[in-house]
Amino acid sequence: MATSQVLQFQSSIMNGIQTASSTFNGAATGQGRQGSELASITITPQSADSILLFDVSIPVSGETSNHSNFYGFAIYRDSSSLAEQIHLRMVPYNPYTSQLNSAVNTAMPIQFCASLDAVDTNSHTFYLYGGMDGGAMNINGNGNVQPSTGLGSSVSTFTCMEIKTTA
Amino acid sequence: MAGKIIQYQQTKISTVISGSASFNPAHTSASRQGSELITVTITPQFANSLMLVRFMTPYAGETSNHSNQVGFAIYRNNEQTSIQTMHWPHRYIDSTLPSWAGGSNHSFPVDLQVVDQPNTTASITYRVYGGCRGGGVQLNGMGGATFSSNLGSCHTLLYAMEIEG
Repeated sequence: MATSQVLQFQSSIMNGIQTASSTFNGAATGQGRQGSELASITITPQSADSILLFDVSIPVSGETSNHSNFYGFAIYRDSSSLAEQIHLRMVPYNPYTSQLNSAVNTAMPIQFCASLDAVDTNSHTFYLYGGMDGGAMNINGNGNVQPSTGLGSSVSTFTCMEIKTTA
Repeated sequence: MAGKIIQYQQTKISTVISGSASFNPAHTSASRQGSELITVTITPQFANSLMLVRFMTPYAGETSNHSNQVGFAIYRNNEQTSIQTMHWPHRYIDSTLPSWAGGSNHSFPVDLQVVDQPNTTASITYRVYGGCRGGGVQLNGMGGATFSSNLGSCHTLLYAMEIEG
């Protein structure tokens, strides 16, 4: 009977408005990372046959000005330029005025996960990259404006849970 | 202690998945909507366990330009009524489409979960069905397209996590 155990949990917290200035081109045909680095997690798996379950949660994001319709995010391991998870989405423009910045008409909360094999018990760093097709992207805000601090906080998270299952 | 993770099972698919059946959220009789896309099987160790079932696809859309709505549902075993259903009406993209969108102008990546209480120790298969209102849905790709392998890869994930009740 299979049993599983969470061996460790690592997280990276992104506070405050941040800007990814490099574009993410899902149509690129050459090699190389897309977007800008947003966060990283370094983890040393306790077991080589564990699963590393990553979660990305970005509650507020969007273009810095009116320039894009497409988002992209990727998770890279160590120095590799080949992503192990890619999240792509098209976001139709909103014809109504944003409460944060009226110039922005493409904005979206982002959430996705990835299940990667631990492979070995060496230390590895996983990088979260993200961006938009036509210009810079904000997280924890859009249009270079964050939600009012009077409301509370907007915090993005990049987490990793090492899970080992034995038959 | 309640809340302890007892077991984790997953199905991870890195290739393009396509369904052909449509998904009608207004359907009134008990019958599955859409096409079966991915399944995961788990045998609970305890009858009072909770099952956290999560379906995530990071890159998805219409198989071609036919719809402005998508639906996904999670079914238990061979039941005809779902334990979780989502429906998403979406505006089309009217700017120049990227090559990774293929013939689709609607993008439907989703992250959907449900907590099930199956009350059994018998094997359970959770099945994810999905479709657009006017045709099939594609996962790990859209509109018949995908991105260059030089960028890396993506995967759709369905997992069931047994949590002590």
